[in-house]
Amino acid sequence: MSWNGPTVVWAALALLLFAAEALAPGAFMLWLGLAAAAVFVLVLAFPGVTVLAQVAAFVVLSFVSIQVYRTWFRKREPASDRPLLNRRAEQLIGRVVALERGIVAGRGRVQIADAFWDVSGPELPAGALVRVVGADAMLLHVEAAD
Amino acid sequence: MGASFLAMVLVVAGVVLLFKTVRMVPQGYQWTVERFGRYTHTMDPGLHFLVPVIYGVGRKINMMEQVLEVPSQDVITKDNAVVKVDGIVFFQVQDAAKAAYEVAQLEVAILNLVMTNIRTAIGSMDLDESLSKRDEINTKVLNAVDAATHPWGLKVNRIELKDIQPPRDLVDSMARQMKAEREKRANILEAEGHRQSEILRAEGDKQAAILEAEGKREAAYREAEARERLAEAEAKATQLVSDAIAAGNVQAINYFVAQKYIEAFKSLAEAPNQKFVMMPMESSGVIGSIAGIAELAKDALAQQQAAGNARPPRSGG
Repeated sequence: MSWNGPTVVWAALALLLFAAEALAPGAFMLWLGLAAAAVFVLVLAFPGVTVLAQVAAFVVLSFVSIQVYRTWFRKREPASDRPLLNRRAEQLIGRVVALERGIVAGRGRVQIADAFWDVSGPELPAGALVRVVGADAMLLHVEAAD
Repeated sequence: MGASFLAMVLVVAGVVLLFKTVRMVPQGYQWTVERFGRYTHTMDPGLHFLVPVIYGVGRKINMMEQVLEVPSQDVITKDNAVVKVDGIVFFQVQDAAKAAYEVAQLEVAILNLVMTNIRTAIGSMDLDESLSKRDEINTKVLNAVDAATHPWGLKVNRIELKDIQPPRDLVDSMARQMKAEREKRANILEAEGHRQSEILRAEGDKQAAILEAEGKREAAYREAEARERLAEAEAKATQLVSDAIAAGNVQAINYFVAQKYIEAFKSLAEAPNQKFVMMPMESSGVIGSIAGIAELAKDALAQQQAAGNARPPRSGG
């Protein structure tokens, strides 16, 4: 194992990029770090590679590392314990509320907490109880609650 | 040279990664964890290990009850008085993830919500009401704010108005009004007292007059009765005298008259302020009466001789 210039540089670069990513999370330095680590292994394996080829390999491997992550690791991402975070409308699914304005021509209105939501559903008079069954951005889908 | 440089870099990187791996959440806080910037879970107080670089700490949420000062603001009441109102809000985060990501600038949001709701509540009341019904205002604002902050994972526990300050001149006139009110009451009470005392005095006078009149009437009755009795007695005496005269001698009367005559004469003579005595009666009257006495004596003597031990005539009295 020869501790000549390029190998040391790539190893140090990889470590520094990992540390920088840990200090200031932004994810892009992680891929650069992985690419630097890969180039370090490459240079160890093939000591005679020119500097230009090393740099080119570094650039190419950065993209390759991102692609590898997207292909193999993305699927096994752990789920959030709050999948509905920042989805106000979807958080309301299952709630039973009284219609503030009757549903006419498929559109009505309910008040939940402090906010008014437009709802779509079967024709119902104001005051009727409805259950939220779905959400579509700003529109809640409701059905009559028994 | 290269090896030592690499070792140095390795130490630095190792220390940084270690610091990012072992995380200690203090009591009273919850930290959110993000994987490549996406929220995954929340760390409770205690020691935690995170895979560095991939996992990072997102937001550090204070789970203790917190106090927010509501800055003083000018609010217009229903009757157009401008009052300065400030207050405090007590709230507690119940859901760290929601408080971290559902709302930007949580405290600013709460403060603005509270301030606008205070305006709404006070704007629907007039000044006197807003000064006296703080509890009602607190409850109103709390209900509105609590409902609105619900989606942010908060529980707003208390909202208290600290100070409601009407403008200086209004406070002065309120004080004047109160003073006038009290003075009015005092004056009314004084007048009432005066009236009562006058009435009582008049009542007393009336009673006294009535009693006096009754007394007079009573006295008049008694006096009349006394006069009647006197007249009766006199009549009886006269009757007795005349009876006695009818039964006895006329000369007995002369005896009494003469006695009285001489008595009157004696008192006249004894009067200390008299230098001389006018003699209004003729001397012959006196002489006459003496002659009458002599006659009486003569008669009495004659009767004694005639009837042994006959009783002298009774004097009428």
